[in-house]
Amino acid sequence: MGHAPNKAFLNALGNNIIIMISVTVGVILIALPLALAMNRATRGVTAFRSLLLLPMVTAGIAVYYVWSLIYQPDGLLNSLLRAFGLEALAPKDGWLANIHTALPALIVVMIWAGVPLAMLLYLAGLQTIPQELMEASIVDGAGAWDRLRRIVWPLLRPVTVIIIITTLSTALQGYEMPLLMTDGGPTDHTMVVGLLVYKKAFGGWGTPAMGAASAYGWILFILGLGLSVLSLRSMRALD
Amino acid sequence: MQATLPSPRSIRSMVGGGISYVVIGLYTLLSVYPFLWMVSASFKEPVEVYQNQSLIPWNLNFNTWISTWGDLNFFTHFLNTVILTMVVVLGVLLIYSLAGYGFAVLPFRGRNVVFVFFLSMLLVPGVTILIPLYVMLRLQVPLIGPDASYLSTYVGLALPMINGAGPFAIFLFRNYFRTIPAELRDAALVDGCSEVRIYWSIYMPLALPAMATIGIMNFLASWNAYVWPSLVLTKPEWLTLPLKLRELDMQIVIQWNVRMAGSLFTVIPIILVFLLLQALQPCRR
Repeated sequence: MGHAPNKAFLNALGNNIIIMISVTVGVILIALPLALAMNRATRGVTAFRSLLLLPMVTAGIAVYYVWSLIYQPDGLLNSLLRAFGLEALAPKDGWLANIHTALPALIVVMIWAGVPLAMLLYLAGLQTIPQELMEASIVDGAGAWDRLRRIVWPLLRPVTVIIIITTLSTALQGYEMPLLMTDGGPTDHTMVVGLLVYKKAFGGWGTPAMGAASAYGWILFILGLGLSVLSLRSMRALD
Repeated sequence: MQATLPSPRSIRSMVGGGISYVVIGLYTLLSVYPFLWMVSASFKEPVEVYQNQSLIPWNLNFNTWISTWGDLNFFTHFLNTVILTMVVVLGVLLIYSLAGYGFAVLPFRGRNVVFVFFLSMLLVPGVTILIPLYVMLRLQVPLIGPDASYLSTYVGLALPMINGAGPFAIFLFRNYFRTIPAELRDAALVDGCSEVRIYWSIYMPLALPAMATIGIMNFLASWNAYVWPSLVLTKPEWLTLPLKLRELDMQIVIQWNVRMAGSLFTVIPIILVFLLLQALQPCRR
């Protein structure tokens, strides 16, 4: 087999790692403030909540299509950038065909799709924090930032761990979005391990290499296993 | 004077509340805009899609909708999707609530070992078992393949999907059933109830929230499923909606207005079901 397949695998794994880290960080950075806002705003948020959950319920090809349209060379995103005089930032060949922007563009959609569930989990977590605790801290003169850092964030840690575990494992295993939006391209810049397995087995690269594909698949399983053991350890350490 | 001036704290609280609504409003816009864009693009002309970056199309005509509705052959593929989704959801709810009942209340040797074994299946990535599944169902138990019937193909399609939902559903049902007081079962046993009766008349009605959660999860997953159905469904008229949507524009030049109209038809049923379910649970915040 030589070195070529190995290189392809390492490239895919590298992309997986970039996706895992940036999606997890992005989802938490957006979902937590959003949940804090939802928890605070009491009136008229029910309708908003349903709308906020739309990206979660409609994940799939239709959503990948509309984002592909937004990322087109003359699509919404580039037009917006041009309207604000940021022509230089708009890739001429579109976001999904440019080797530097394709992976970040997919990551944005993954974060967009992942935020609703994390927001729901954080919201549920926030509602278990006793009101007396917050009131006592206000009486003691704690500012909003202090409360967030010393009360809310530590108490939400179990929720954060769950969000990290689920986001990491989804990001490690997922491949449908790159398959349908970029097909791993341009030149393998959005290739992930799952897609590599799929394409080796079913993707029409010459004769199907089911054996090699299975081997990659089981490496993926072992990586996932290691990840789970690690996250379970860290969860125990928190208790 | 004192009474009319709000205290610094309440001013700060008002500002905080205001910021909250701004954050929610902005992110809601970001969540919904792609869907509005989908609707808008489905009304535009192919050239207009690139030239008109406003949500409001130049002309309001339903030509694309009508032609796409016909090209999509909506009802055939809608029905396929509904059948698949119903079979998967009902199968998951029935089989795994029974399994969860067993793991939660029936004492048997090696219960925890078997349970942990099931749980560990959560870690196996879908793509890893895709290959053996395909080989098995195609070559060893030819449920799927060029000569298979509609019924057999859909059985071959649905069974692994039900199976894939197993570990998580068993885990959730077992944990939920364990919160139900054992006295209920003991009392029913004294009254001469069979296990099946206890499950059906006591545990299942009490587990409706767990049923709803798992039902919705699997409804969404099977409605949106792409990769496994794309490997199994080979006959054009057997495709589910997402697959048909993919088939819709196999032309060289992408017609975005057609794609967007097709996407719209694919997501509308889920959005309707979702909003209906939201409306049915008014107590949840």
